Amino acid sequence: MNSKRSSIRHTDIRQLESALWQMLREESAAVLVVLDADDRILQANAAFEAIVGRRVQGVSMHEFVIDFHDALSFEKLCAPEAQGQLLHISTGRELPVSFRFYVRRVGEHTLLFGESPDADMRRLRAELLTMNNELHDLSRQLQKRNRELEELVALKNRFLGMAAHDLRNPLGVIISFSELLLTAEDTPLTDAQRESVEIMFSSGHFMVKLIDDLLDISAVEEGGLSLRREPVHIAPLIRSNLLRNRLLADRKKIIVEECITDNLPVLHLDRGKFEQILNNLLSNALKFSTSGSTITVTCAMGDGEVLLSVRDEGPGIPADEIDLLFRPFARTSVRSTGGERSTGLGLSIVKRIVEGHGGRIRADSVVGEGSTFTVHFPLPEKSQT
Amino acid sequence: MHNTNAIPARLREQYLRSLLLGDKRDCAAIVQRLLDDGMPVRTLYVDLFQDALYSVGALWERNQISVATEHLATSVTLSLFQLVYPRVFSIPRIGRTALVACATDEHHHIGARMVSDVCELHGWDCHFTGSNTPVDDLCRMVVEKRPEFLGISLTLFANVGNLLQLIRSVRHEMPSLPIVVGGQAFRDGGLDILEDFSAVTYYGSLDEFEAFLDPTYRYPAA
Repeated sequence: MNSKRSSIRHTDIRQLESALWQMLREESAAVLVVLDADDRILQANAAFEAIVGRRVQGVSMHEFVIDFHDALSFEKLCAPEAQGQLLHISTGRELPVSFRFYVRRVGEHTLLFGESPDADMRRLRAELLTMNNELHDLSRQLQKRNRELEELVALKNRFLGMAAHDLRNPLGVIISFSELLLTAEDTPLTDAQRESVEIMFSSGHFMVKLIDDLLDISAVEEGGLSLRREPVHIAPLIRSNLLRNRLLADRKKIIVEECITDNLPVLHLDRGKFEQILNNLLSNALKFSTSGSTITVTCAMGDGEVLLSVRDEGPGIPADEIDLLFRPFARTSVRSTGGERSTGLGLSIVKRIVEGHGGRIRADSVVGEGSTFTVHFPLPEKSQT
Repeated sequence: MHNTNAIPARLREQYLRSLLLGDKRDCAAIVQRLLDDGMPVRTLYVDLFQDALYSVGALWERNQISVATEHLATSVTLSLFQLVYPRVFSIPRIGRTALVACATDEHHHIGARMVSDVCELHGWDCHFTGSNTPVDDLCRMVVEKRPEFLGISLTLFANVGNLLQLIRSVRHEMPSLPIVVGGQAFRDGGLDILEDFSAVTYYGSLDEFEAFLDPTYRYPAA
C-alpha cells in the first residue's frame, strides 16, 4: 500500500514531464533553448524571448551569444568543465545578461539551460556590500593614521623649533668670537689660522641661516603662517632691498637690473615677509649666476594682480626637476657657481609666504639660458574695482 | 553650542525620511549641521544613527520596507561616519588598546563601529576588524595587537555558534583576555550560554559599556 502511494506511475511521469516542460517554457525565470544541428533555435522559452526582446524561432543562436571564445563552439560548451560557466546573451537594447549555462546534446539537438541571474545578482550584491564595508574600514584606518601622522608632524615641528632656537645662541657666540679673531689688530693670525677661522665664521653664518629657515618652516607647518599685514608701497621697498643685494652681487661681478613700473598699487603685505621673498629669490639667482651675467628684477601690473619676477642667466633647471624646487630639502642637479651652500628650504619658505598672501609662484626655466621665478600677488578687492 | 544633548524630534524624523529614500546628501547635511553646532558624537550615534536604524529594522520586520531599502539605509549611514571621524580621531590618546570585531558571518556592523568609535572618544586606540571576522584572522589580530579587551558584536542570534567558537579560539590564544559581548542578538535573552566562560561580560547598552571603559564615566541624564 505504502509503495503504491509513494511511487509515481509511468503515465503520471509523462504528464509531469509535460507539465514541467510547460512551466519551464512559460513561467520559469531560467532560460531554455533547443537548437537544431545548425545551431538554429527550434524552441525557446518565454524568459529567453523576454530577454532578447523578440521571437527567436529559426534564428541562429550565434546572434545572441557574445564574447564567447572561438565564436559559439558548442563542442566546448558541452565539455564538462564548461558546465555552469557564464554565457553572455545580447539583449539588443540594453546591457548583455549573463547566465550560468548547462548544455546537453540530445541526438542532433542541443539543449541549453541558463540559470537565472538572480543568484549571481545576489552574490554580486553581497560582494559589493562586503567591498563597501572593507573600503569603509580602510578609509577609517586611513583617517586614523592621518590624524596620528598630523600629530607626529606637529611634534616634529615643535621639536625642530625648540632645537633650532636653542642652537642659535651658542652659534652666535661662535660667530662673534671668530669675527673678533679675524678683526683683532693686536694679535694678528697666521694665514693658516685665518683660513681656519674664516671657515668657522662662514660655517657659523650658514648654520644660522639654516636654523632661521628651519624655524620659519616649522613655524609655518605647525600653526600656519602668521602675517602682520599693512599697506605697502612695493616699488620703493624693492628698490631699497636691491641696494643691499647689489653689494652681494658685486662680489660675484653680477649685474642686477631693475624694471619696476611706477604707480603700482598699494598692497596689503607683511613687509618683512615680502623682503624675505625677494631676498630668497635673489640669493638663489646669485648662487646660480656666473660672473658678468645679469639678474633682472621686474615688477609690473598683471590681470588683477601684481607680478614680481626675478630672472637669471644661470644654467637653468631641467624640466623634470622644476617640481622639486618648492619641496623642503629637495635638491636639483644644478650646482651653485661660487660654491655657495643651500639649506634646501628657501624656495619652500617663499612658496608658503606667497600662498599665505593669497598669491602663487611659478618657475620657468630653459637649460642653458636661465630661470625666471614669478610671484603673483592678488590685488586688494578695492584696487580691482 | 547646544546646551542640551537632545536632537529635536523633527530633525530625527527628517533624517529617517531621507535615510529611507537613500538621500545621502540630505542626511549628510543634517549630520554636518549637528556637528557644526557642537553636538557630541556619542549623541549623534545613539540618538540619530542608532535610533534611525532601529526604526528601519522595525519597518523591515513588519515587511513595510524591502531588504534593499534596509541595505541602502545601512550604506548611507556608513558613509556618514566619514563626517564624524575627524572629531573621533582628534581625542588625545590615553595609551590603551582595544580590539572590536563582528562575529563570523555577522554582517551587521554599524553597532560595532559605533562601539569602536566610542572607545576612541574615550582616548583608547581601538582596532576594528569589520564585519564577518574569520576566527583565524581574529586570533592573529589578538596576538599581534595585544589589546586590553576584545569586544565582539552579535546582531543575529543565529550566529551564536560562531560567537562561541570565536570565544573558545581566542581563549586558547589568550586565556585571560577580557571579552566583552554586545549587540541585539541577546535582547530577548539567551545570555546563559556565556556563563560557561570566565571573563566574558555582556553589556546591553552603550552606557554600561562606557562605564566599563572608564569607571569615572557617568550616565547621561535621561
